[in-house]
Amino acid sequence: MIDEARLRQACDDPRAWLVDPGHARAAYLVRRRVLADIGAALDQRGLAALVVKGAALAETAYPHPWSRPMSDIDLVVRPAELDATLAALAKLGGLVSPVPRDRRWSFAQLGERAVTFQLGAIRCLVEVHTHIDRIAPRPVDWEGVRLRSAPMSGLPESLLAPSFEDHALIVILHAALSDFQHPLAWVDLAQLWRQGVDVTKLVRRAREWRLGPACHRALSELNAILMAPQLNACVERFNAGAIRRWLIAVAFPARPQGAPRVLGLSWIARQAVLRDDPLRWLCGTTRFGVARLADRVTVLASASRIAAFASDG
Amino acid sequence: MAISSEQRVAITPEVLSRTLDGEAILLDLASGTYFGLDGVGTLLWELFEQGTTVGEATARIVAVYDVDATTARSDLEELLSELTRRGLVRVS
Repeated sequence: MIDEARLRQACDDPRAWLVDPGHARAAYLVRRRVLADIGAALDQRGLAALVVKGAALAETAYPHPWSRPMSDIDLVVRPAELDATLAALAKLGGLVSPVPRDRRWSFAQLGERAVTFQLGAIRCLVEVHTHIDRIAPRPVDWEGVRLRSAPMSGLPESLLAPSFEDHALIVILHAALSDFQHPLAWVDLAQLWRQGVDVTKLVRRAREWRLGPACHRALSELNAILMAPQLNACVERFNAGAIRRWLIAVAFPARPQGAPRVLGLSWIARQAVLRDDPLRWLCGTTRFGVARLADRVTVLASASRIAAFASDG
Repeated sequence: MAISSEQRVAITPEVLSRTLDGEAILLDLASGTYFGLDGVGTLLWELFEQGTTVGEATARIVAVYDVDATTARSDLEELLSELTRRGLVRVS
């Protein structure tokens, strides 16, 4: 259960969320080092990456960059540059996690690879994405996000931070994928709001990205936490109608409970409520279902080959 | 710990450091241990990073904190002793 008073306080001053500020500062040093090294490696190869969520928000929206806790660094790269980026990170000493053997077919649809950097006794996880959606990516214009992005202060120019509007939508998208159970999303949105989000641009892009219902749910929650009347008008612009609002309220009860996010059929059903593009969602989930089936058949076939080999032996 | 005024302090390569909100944070990557320095410690660490000699660092402490040279030198040696013991610096 999330402590609402603490969450509200953290929206005002993110340091209130930290259990151990000393640890947060030390983690920040590691993050900066890893980002600097990654940026230099990408610069050298003429590549670039968007830094999204915590690592970028810490630098661009938070009053104290060390005060945004996070478990990893998220990068978004062009699909065509994924392999080159992973090769650059591997050359830098990162350990690229292999594709899991039991997810040979479905893994690519998740659009992410994990790279672990070991700095002495400390590990730093970097996730390299080609998109941040799940199963059926919404039509997010990542090239547009790149065009509107800016280099991060004090880091190589190959590392780009999205504009405040794009970043707010990325945070909302991520919150939606986490069933709105990621409390830091509210702290992130509060910081972005404080920096100044252009509501007209936000609404226009949210519609282009098919994120309207997720925006309505997320901004309603933010409004309830911050109790900021100026958010009312923005929430209203995402009003999806009474039936959709009721469905969203049933699928995603108000207030974060801190429950873990689990991908599964119930998750797919809940996410369907947020989708403005039912055909894309249907195609995506079907494609993913087929890929998961293929994963299982492959694993079973491989297991039976091993069993046959063992009995021959 | 006998240190001459001409000596300099070398920060161990495995130490990451940065001053955040006026406080130097040191992270020893080898052990994963982090440390925070107070105001005087932060100033001294920044001077060590710049390659200042022990004598120059002492003079700077005297100037900034309005203390006598003996007290400043004693504080500096105490900090250096602690940092050396923890493997964060070497006095060259």
